[in-house]
Amino acid sequence: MHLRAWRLIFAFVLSGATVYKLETRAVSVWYGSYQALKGVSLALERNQVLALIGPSGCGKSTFLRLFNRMNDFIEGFRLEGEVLIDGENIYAPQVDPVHLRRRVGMVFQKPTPFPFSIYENVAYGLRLQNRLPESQIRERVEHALRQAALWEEVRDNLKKSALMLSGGQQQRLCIARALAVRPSLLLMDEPTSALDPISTAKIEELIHELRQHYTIVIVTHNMQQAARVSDMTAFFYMGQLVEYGRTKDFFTNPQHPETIRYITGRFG
Amino acid sequence: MKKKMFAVAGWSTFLVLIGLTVFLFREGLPALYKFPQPELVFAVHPANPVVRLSAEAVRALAEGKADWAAFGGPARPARLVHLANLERYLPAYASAAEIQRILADLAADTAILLALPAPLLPEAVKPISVTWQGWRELFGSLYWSPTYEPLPRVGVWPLLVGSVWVTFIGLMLVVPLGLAMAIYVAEFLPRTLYYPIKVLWEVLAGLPSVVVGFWGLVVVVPAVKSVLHLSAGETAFTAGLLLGWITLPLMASLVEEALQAVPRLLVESSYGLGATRWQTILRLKLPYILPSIATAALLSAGRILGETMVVLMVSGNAPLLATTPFQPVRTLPATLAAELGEAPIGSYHYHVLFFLGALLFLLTLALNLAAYAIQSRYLRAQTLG
Amino acid sequence: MGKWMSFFLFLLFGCTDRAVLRIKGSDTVLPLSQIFAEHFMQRRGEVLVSVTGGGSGVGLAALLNGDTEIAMASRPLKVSERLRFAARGITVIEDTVAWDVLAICVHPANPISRLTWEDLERIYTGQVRNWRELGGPDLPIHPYSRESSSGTFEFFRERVLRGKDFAAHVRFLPATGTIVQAIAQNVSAIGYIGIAYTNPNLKVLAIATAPGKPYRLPARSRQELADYPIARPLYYYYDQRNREKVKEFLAFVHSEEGRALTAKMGYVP
Ligand SMILES: Nc1ncnc2c1ncn2[C@@H]1O[C@H](COP(=O)(O)OP(=O)(O)OP(=O)(O)O)[C@@H](O)[C@H]1O
Ligand SMILES: [Mg+2]
Repeated sequence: MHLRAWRLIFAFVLSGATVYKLETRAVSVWYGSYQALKGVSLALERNQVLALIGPSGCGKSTFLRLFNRMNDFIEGFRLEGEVLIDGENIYAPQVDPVHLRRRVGMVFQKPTPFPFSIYENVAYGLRLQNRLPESQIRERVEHALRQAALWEEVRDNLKKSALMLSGGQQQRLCIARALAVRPSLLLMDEPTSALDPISTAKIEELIHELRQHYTIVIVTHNMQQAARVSDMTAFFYMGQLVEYGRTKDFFTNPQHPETIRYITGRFG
Repeated sequence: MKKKMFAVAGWSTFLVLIGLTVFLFREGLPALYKFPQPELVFAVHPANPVVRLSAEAVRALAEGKADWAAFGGPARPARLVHLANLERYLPAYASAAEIQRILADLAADTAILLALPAPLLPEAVKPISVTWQGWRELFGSLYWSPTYEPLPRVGVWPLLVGSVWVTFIGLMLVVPLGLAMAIYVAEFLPRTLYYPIKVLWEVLAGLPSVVVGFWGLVVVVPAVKSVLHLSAGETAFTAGLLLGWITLPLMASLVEEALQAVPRLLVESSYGLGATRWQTILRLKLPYILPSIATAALLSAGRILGETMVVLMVSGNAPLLATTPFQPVRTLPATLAAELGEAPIGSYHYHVLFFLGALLFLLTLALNLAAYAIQSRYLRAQTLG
Repeated sequence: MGKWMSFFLFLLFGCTDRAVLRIKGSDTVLPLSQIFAEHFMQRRGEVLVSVTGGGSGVGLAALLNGDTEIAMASRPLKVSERLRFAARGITVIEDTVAWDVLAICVHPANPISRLTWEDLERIYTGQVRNWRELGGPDLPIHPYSRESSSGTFEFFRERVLRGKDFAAHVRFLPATGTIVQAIAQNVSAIGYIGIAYTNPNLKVLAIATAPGKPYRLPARSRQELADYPIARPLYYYYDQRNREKVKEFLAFVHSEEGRALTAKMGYVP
């Protein structure tokens, strides 16, 4: 009985017919009187990597930050349309943004380690929720650090200040910190723009690993990166979603003239 | 041209500062080695075998707390004649000759202890030496009475302890309240009220301390007395309360600025991990600005420590060695302010006051250096990332 | 050049061909002297009286150097000063212009209404710490004093405490007004202030100079001072050779009008 119910749900999800991991329906966003997004509709399946590309100021970050309601803090922010995660409208009045953010991890443009020890950085999110025994926290910190491919480098220095790490290590620490709270969705806003090529490669490798368990949305200015790491690519231009499709097709066979101009580097 | 002007301004300020410091120490250090009454000769009756007295012994004799026997003299209490009490023995218009005669009569008493300028000293007395160890008088005594005749009491402990109590109480008030105010203004105050509040702070900070002191005397002193059921309201606690209150704008605005300066990305990272507003304040922002809080507290302490007028009016100024903050105290700066005007330049009292000034300077310097050290260590840690 | 200079000097001094009487010294006596000077000049327009403060010592030093005709002092000449005048061959004359009578005050709710001089001394030197010991309520005694920079402080220590030191728990306040304030607020307080400052919020104590002697309220006249000697004389000192020059002014000070002014200022003439 139980098993059958699960199977049914499983089949339903796998079929992908209606329930997407992420979905936006005619989303428009205003900052005061300025419209930053204009009727964006897009859907993404589970365990996929979505790359958001487009020229500066086109609304990529705005779009990305819709999914953990980070824009709520901005004065004058206003939203029309629906944003759904697992089929649930996250802007519905009964949704608590604090709870939502525990299901959605975020990594920023620059590494943002807290001025605590490495261990405490990763444990930060865990300590916010109901009290976990320290042994469990330790386990989950280690697991997150392993997932972020940082464990081997810091296992002996967990008590050291996170500020002592290199930029690339710090960014992986931030990923570990986000993973520790076990989100199902990971948002990354230009996670490698402040890093050297080797660190960048490591992060990209990491994204490859993580896609097995997570759905990832990544903003990037680097076309090669988008091509390398993502399954789907969305091109934004002046607040509009101009083109959206499988990454393979997207770069080999772009449809819109703006997309072509952008990916061939002949843009503005 | 402009650069030169700045250089001149900077260097001249620096030189003036150095000059002030040198002056402070040059005038203060003689308190350690000078004799308080260099123009006085101490003398006893020739039949008195005492040849040497400590300053403490002179005071004990003067106050009748000991008699000569305690120091090897006759078993009689001393009769002290010095410049300040000489008038008692003299008729209204004594001529120089009369003064000499009366003093000679007085000196016939075997229990006499004279402390007079050499020209006034009768011939038939035996000068004795009085030892004065500046260091021990300053730090080994628990009494402050710098104009006491014939020898002053200059123990700095009551004043130091008084300053410490006032500063401590002030900090106990200013740190939590300053934090609370800063958090409220930085996090919860509607933006439209932000600038009016900031301006109000500046106005509060600029309130003349005499005004605050008088208000304290008329309102806070009786309030403290009745609320705490004390028998008098002029206490270290009262002074600390008022000074904490005066310093609140400084503390609050320093912390508030630090709170505003927490990088937005860090704050968003915290929210992104599912932290609530309060969790972000308590677990990220406060630990993050801890060095700034410490710095602000140290600077506030320096401000409280140096405040004069308010303390003078509400602390009671009794040079007691206070064991609780509910006793009256006399602080270093209040002592300076009250007494510097009366101390003749170059007198021992004057040197002792400058010594206090130097002490105060060192204390404030230590606080500021500590604040600076914390700040710079923290900056280094920040840039490492 | 010389012409201009003399013109300038004429402008400064020449137009007022008035005799100048300089008075210098104690800041305590200063307001009193200013009132005297004002009224004196109203009546004797040809004499210019200039009054400056600076402290008793400053005034006496000026007198020694011939820089002032009258030195104001809130204390008698020190022996050292006396000798210095003698060395210059100057005979100084002392004129007591007024008495600054001190009232010993407590809170009106304090049942104590009189003390002996002895009691006062024991209170301020810390031998007596509770009003009960003096027949009052079971309350600690809080003695208040002016700061040590004031002449009142020195007078009190030297004359009332007979040279003994103040106890460490005596609270020192920077101005008489603050002492008035403190006593009015505190049932256990005691303090000394000039009689001009007494008000209905304070109770003025009667003092006996010795056990067995009558208790007296602060003197209001010179005759009463004999039984209430907690009063500080305020002096004018002048060089005997200037007697003629200051005679008229001093006569005014001691005249009916001058005495009325003194009383109005809160001193005993
Ligand atoms: N807090 C804000 N208030 C007002 N306008 C904003 C705010 N944040 C962003 N905008 C505006 O919204 C538009 C989209 O901004 P967004 O940050 O989403 O761009 P982006 O695509 O991420 O750019 P970049 O590649 O430079 O990061 C921009 O024109 C920007 O000026
Ligand atoms: Mg962006």
